[in-house]
Amino acid sequence: MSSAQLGAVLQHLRRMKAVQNQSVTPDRELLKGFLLRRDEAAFAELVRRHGPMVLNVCRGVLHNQHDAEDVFQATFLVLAQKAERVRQPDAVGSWLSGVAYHLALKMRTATGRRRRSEEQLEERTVADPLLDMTLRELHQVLLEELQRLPEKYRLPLILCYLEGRTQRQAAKQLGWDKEVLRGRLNRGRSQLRARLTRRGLSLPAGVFASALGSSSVSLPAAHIEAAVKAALASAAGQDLGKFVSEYAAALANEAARTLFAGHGKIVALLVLAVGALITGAGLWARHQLAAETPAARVAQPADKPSPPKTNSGKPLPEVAVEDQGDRIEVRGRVLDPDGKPLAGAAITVWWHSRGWVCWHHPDMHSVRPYRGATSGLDGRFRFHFAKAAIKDTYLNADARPWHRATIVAVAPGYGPAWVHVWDLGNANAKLQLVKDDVAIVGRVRDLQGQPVAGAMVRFRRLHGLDRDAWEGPPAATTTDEQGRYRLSGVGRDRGAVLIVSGPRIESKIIHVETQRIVRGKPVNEAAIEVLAGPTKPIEGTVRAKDTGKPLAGVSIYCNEHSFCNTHQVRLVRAVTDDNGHYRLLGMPKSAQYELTVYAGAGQSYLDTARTVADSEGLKPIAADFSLRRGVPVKFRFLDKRTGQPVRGQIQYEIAQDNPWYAEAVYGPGIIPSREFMHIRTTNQDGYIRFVSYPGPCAIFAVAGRESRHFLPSKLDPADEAKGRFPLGKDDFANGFLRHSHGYRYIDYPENAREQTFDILFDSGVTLKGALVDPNAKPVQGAVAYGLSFDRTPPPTQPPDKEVLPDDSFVARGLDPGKACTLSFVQRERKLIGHMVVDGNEKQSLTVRMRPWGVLTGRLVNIVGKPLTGVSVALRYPDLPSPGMRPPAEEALTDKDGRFRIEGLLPDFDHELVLEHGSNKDVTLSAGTVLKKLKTGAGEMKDLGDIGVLVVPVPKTEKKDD
Amino acid sequence: MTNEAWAPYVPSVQMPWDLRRVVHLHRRAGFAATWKELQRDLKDGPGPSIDRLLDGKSRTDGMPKDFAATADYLVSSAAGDLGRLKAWWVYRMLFGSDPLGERLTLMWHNHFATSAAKVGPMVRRQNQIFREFARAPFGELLTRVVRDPALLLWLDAQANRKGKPNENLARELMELFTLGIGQYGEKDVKEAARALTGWTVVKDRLQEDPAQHDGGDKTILGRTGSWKGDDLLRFLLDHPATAERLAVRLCEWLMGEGAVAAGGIKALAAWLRRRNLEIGGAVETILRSKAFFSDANLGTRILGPVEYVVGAARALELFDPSPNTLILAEFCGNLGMDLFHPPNVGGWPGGRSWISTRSTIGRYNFASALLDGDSVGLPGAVDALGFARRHGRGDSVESIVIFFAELLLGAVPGRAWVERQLAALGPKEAVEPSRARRIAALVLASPETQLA
Repeated sequence: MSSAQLGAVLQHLRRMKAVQNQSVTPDRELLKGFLLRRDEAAFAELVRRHGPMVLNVCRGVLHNQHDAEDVFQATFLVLAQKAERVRQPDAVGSWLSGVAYHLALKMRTATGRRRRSEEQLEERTVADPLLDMTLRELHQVLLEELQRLPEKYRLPLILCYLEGRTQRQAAKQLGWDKEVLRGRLNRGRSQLRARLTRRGLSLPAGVFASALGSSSVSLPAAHIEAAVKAALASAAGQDLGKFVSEYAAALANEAARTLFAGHGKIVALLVLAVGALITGAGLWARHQLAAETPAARVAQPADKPSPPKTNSGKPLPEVAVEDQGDRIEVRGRVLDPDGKPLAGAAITVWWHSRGWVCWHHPDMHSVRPYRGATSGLDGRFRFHFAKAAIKDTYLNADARPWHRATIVAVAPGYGPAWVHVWDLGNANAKLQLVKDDVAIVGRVRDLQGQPVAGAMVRFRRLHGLDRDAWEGPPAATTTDEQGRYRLSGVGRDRGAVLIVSGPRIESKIIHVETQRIVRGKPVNEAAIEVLAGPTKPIEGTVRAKDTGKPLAGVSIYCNEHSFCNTHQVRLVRAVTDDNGHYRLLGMPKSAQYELTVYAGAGQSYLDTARTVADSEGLKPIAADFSLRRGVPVKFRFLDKRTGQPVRGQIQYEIAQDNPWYAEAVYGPGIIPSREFMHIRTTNQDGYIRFVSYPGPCAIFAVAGRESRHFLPSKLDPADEAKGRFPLGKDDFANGFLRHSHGYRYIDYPENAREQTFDILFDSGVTLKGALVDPNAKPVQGAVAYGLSFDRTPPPTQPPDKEVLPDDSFVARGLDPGKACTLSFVQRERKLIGHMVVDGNEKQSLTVRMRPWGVLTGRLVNIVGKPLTGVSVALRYPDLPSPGMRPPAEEALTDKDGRFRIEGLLPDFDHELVLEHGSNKDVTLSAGTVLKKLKTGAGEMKDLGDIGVLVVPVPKTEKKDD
Repeated sequence: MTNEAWAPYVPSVQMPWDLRRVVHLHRRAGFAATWKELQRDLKDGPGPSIDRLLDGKSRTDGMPKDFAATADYLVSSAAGDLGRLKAWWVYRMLFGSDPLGERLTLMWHNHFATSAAKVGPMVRRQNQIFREFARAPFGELLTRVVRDPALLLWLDAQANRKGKPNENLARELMELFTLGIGQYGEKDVKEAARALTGWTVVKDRLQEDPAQHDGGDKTILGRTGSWKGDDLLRFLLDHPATAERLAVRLCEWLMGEGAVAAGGIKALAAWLRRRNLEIGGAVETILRSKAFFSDANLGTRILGPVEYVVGAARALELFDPSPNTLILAEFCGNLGMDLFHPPNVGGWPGGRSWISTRSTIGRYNFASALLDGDSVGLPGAVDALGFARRHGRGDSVESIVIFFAELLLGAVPGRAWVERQLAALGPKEAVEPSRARRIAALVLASPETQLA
């Protein structure tokens, strides 16, 4: 090659590089470069490589762009400060995703009600309101569950789905064999799906993938630059203010201190730390996060008018929802903006179960609020609902769909008021209407700046309250010739969500706040301009594959194939007419469009999905579908022991060796089967119905949340003998077995008629018992753990806690032959007790509770100086699942280094763990002195001075795995 | 200007000020013009017509009253959405008062070709610099563009540090933005890169980091000293090759590939050197020249996709309602010029590379789509017949053919050409709206219309 040619080639290569400056240096080397040499380029490459994913995680949790950017910067600052703590240097992304998720949650808690609504990030385009309502929550749940997966599964999921690596690239990066990676990816996916199913979460594949997002979100170069500069400044101990916000720096510092104080158990810390940060306790070792959240939450801040009182002087709750046997009473009073009782307000109630929305369910859109009553002269109202008549708003499998009641009051001339009441309790907040003196006004224009006349502007919801929860104003409106609109009825100081749509524009979601006081002055309009791009129509015909006849009533959804982030996900819906024809409008121009097709209710046809590419301009895309006939199935769940029907939901899986598997599995999403799109729950008549594929499939059944005392599924030996587990040996869907309460393997021929069967749940053994003290006297008022907890929970979920009304207890759902620990605490009397049972006990149980032990001591360093502010936590002895579950005791050493720990189980070995000290840059070790600690009943043992080795953590320490 | 090549154009019998030359002026210096604007300029003569273009006052039709406010709103709403940014720029080209300014902006976008694929929405600010300094002395433009984060990040300036120089920025500065290849040596590039060390981007701004700057002596283009980045820019602007490269760039953009002989280039370069590299003046020199209006220079330059697409919408007066700018930008991309996404740092090759089998079909498809309306976001088909009749034509199929030829080309390319169009339309004689649309599409897509 001549030098001229060589020059030309080099020139070419340089230019290519300028276009896409991609490096293949492994994460490990980059991290090393930064740790050892403070290599800026190495750090920049890490930011460039993982930044999009990190930003995506931040945006998934946070509404606000600035907050998301702060957390983004804080995450990379933590990396700069704690780079040596990355346990898997080949997968920095996984580590970063955990840190980002954690920090984002913390930020969300800290910012609380602060809203910055009309920012660019929020102008999303969603035509399906339910999607809008839940997508963000969905993203969060996905991220949360992802963090809970074992590392070996989490790593490949993060690389392949969050960071968009191919399997080959991921395998190379992790140094794994490709087959190993594929296997772990499959198992990870399966576990994640199972976890989501357990939370009642069900989604279309495309939405799922979009919700989780991936890294194609564009990362502004300024973010990279700021992150790198801040990292270097941080490493050099310089001021960060020039590069990142004060908040990002503070967040990072705190995280670096709290997150990495232990022994690098990042995952556990992250999961647990979330709770501590939310409760603001600053300590994370309370295991009662879910169980101890308040029973009722407040929708609005309470204000001044004094609450009514009972005869005894005790304040009456403003709103109460009471269980009265077979009916529920709702009562309360409505106040006007001045705090005076308001007559004539219409009250409605919306019921929610725990769980997730299936927004594709045809019934979903028909659920209306329950009309209650009108407030009387004293503003009071009272009405009842028969429990049997309450239909679960979200069609969940919950047997008690009144987990949350949203009570809404509306009256002409006012903006609505609402409160949420959890689990049939009281609301702390007032049902106080607001003045309707701030109208929402604006103008809709197209990209040519020209007004869009005739666009529909619909009020969708208030922040915190969905539009479906009440009837009445504000209504929808259409834009005039100048593209202008005006909506009132929202009330002042509300956050509102509007949907703007029209036949020629993309559908858009608009967030607006009706602030009454702006820059110190009262205003009566909240103006919001809308700029709408064009819509790309999609149209076609849906037919039956077997007969060729058009199918009416089929729903077609379109989801922009956007892997970027949840903010760009859009969904529009159309229904086929009598000729099977549909036309989807509202989609913005996109590279491709993901269409999902759902057969109408009562049609024995299978759903399908397809991705179609964009075409030039705005000419409609033609997409026809032929639906395959499936096999209708109808079944119910029965309690094997009582024969009683049980409500619940299923996970339907198609065997990998099913001839239609490839057709049924769709999309690049983390959930391969589009069958997962449906949440299939028990209907009002007690049955579940759906249309199955012919060939081998499995139905995994899960009892509703209110009846989780059933035993996990066990593989039927008859199935096993036929080589079914319950599907083929290596089918990863088999993983659902242990997360379900029952299952059924099905294999029907094509064109089979409706199939009916039952799936049996085993409620296991029920044992009764009583608590006594050392004098054989009954113990009242104890708290019990493990009596009825869900036997198939995720490992981090605490068992149900039960406050015993008297000295007796009932333990349900015990699996004969399998050991289980029941534990009890009576705090006032400082009694503790437990019993390990195996379900074969024939007699009533008696648990003898004993005075608990107490440990005291003093922590000193090697020169005898007291260690203050060190967290000392108690570890209970290992006992069969779920183990000793009272909240672990924990204390901080005082100024003399002293601590006191209560709640020891007498005569058992315990351990004390020094979780973290006040000094973030040290690790603490007391050798074996704090292990195998035992006390007698009621004994207080002083451990005296305990020498603790305080080891500084060198900043450049490197821990290669 | 002393050189004969740039002698001013004076209408004559051989080179009359006719519709052909009016159309030529607008298609070279702007994005075509409406019938009314053409007739006005035909009447007023070359002087006022060129003045209006130079002053950004050539347009009278389809100008929204609130153009500036709307353009600001569109660009601020676009935020990081590149599709919206492209639509905003097309909006400016289609509705703005200064088509020459937008053409020059497009030229600088190609000269300092920076891709949003790497630097994202930073291209927005860069684009505004191009527009603001489009006619300014080149030194002002160069200094601002080179100190803007988009170009710095595009060419990895932040990786250029003391002891570890990265030559990307220095090399492209010399090779593409100023001197041109062959005017410097490899050592100059290395030394120039050293002079630029310490230039980095912090919070979207250039920051000169003294700690990362190599303060040692450098020898650049024969001058030795402890030069910094600004010294380098000064040397490059002073260098005669820069003026020559600019002269080539301007001639290519306004006259076409190889249209100006070496002597003309040298004369223009000399003028630029004398006038502090003032671009506006050089553009004026070209537009007023005899060479620009010579027969040999008419209909010889291949229209770029953006000029073609925007020009079609303007000539057909599709203002209210107008085609969707997002879709027009998409068509530009499909025809080979994806705004804000040049193929590499060298920009779009332009000229004959715009024409291929694919792009020829693409241009025909665009012409059909534009006239059909729906697919470009118009509420319905374009009323081409009504349009022709509004301008006093449309009595016969032939008169419509001739009208669109005059509107788009300034003259009928010959009787044979008319016959070809009529043959393509088929034997039917009736004048109907759909037929008029077909004629407009045929003329828009004809080979002659691809040249300006």
